[in-house]
Amino acid sequence: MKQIPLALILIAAPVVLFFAGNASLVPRPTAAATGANTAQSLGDLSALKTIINDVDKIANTGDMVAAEKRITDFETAWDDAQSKLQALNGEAWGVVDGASDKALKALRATTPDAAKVAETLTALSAALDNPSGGPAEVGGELKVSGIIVSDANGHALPCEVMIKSLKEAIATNKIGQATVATANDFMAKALERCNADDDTHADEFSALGLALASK
Amino acid sequence: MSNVIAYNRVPKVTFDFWLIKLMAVTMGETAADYLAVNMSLGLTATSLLMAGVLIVALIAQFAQKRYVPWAYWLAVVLISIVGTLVTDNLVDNFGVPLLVSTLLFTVALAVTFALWYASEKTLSIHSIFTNKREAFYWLAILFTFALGTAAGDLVAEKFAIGYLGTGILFGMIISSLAAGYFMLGLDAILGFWLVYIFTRPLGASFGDLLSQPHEYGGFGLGTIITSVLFLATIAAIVIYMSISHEGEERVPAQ
Repeated sequence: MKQIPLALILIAAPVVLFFAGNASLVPRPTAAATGANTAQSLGDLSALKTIINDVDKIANTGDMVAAEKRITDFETAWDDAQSKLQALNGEAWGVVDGASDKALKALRATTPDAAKVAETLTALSAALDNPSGGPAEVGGELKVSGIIVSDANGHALPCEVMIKSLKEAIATNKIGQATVATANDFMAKALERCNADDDTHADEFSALGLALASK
Repeated sequence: MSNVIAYNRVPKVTFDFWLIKLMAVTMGETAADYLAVNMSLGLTATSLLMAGVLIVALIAQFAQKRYVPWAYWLAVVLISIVGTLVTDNLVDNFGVPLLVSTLLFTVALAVTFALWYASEKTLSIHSIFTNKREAFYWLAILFTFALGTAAGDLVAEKFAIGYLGTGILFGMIISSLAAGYFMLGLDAILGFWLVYIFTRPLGASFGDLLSQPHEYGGFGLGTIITSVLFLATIAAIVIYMSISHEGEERVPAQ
């Protein structure tokens, strides 16, 4: 029976070749590069974040007029800081600015859609937490909106596991009535990415949904 | 040796065979995604529905008593969809980790081959002329699809090398096995089943590459267009095979 070892060698050889080639072609981001990324972010955005938390609270009561009024404070502060923040990191500024445009648009619609408002505010909040885009790295584990989405080596958690916790959070009413539609929305998106074997993006959507529970 | 001629009920392995097999797999992956995500039937209902359709297709295939392209390839396309759904169900509904399901299907496939060999003293795919042999053949095919899905998803999850990267990796494994068969004397039956397993993740990553949106590293064709495109290609090859009688085999009955 020389056939089985032969088959194993025929399978192992290209695997080794592939990963050797892959490792040399696509170097993993080093610790130094990650550090530089943090240094280039937008600095302390906690004041802006506070306003958005307010807007979110007001929007959850259903008073969209008051929520729109409060987000105008954010718009003013954000525009005032534009030149300073753009100089710090144009790309990161763009990430937050894009998210803020969406939130403003949702709140200023003729009849604002509560789910859409909650969704865009959560995304804006996440952008403020991590303006450099992509999952923020915290002590080896990647986090999105404060929810761990990877193991200590930075590999995405199995998307099925994250979706399961989100499903449980929704079933056990950990997510408020006002945002449960948004949470279901995130879960649908997470499921879609998960079915396409795209764990990283699926986990990001699950985390955005789970973040609604911790409010 | 008798003069009675029996028909092999499954096709000879040719270039067209692998081409259509790869297409069937790709379509199985995108169609399974489409059914589970867009039809909002949920995974369980979708799986039961497709399993029912598969059983009808298999009854049609068994009834032919010889290789007829449309019946054979319809069964393969449906097995591809059901095999994918079986793995997805184990992971999503029963919480079985991919590593466990990969090992589980490897064992299931090994047991199938062991029973097949014990019963028939051969694993040849050129002499499938009894219902019993055909049943072993299709059972082995079902497990290769489930195993291919689990192993492919496992690689995608552990290594995050993207659709193209996964495609290249499995393409390299298949080329290596082909080289082993043509140059190093790898056994034809062993080689056939191994390549059969690995064309599953190759086709799936190819399907995802075409159908998934640009922002997730795909070409953004969407699952519907991709499925229809491949279904049309499969139909064209099946019509060609039906007319040319390619892949049909007659074997002297023992």
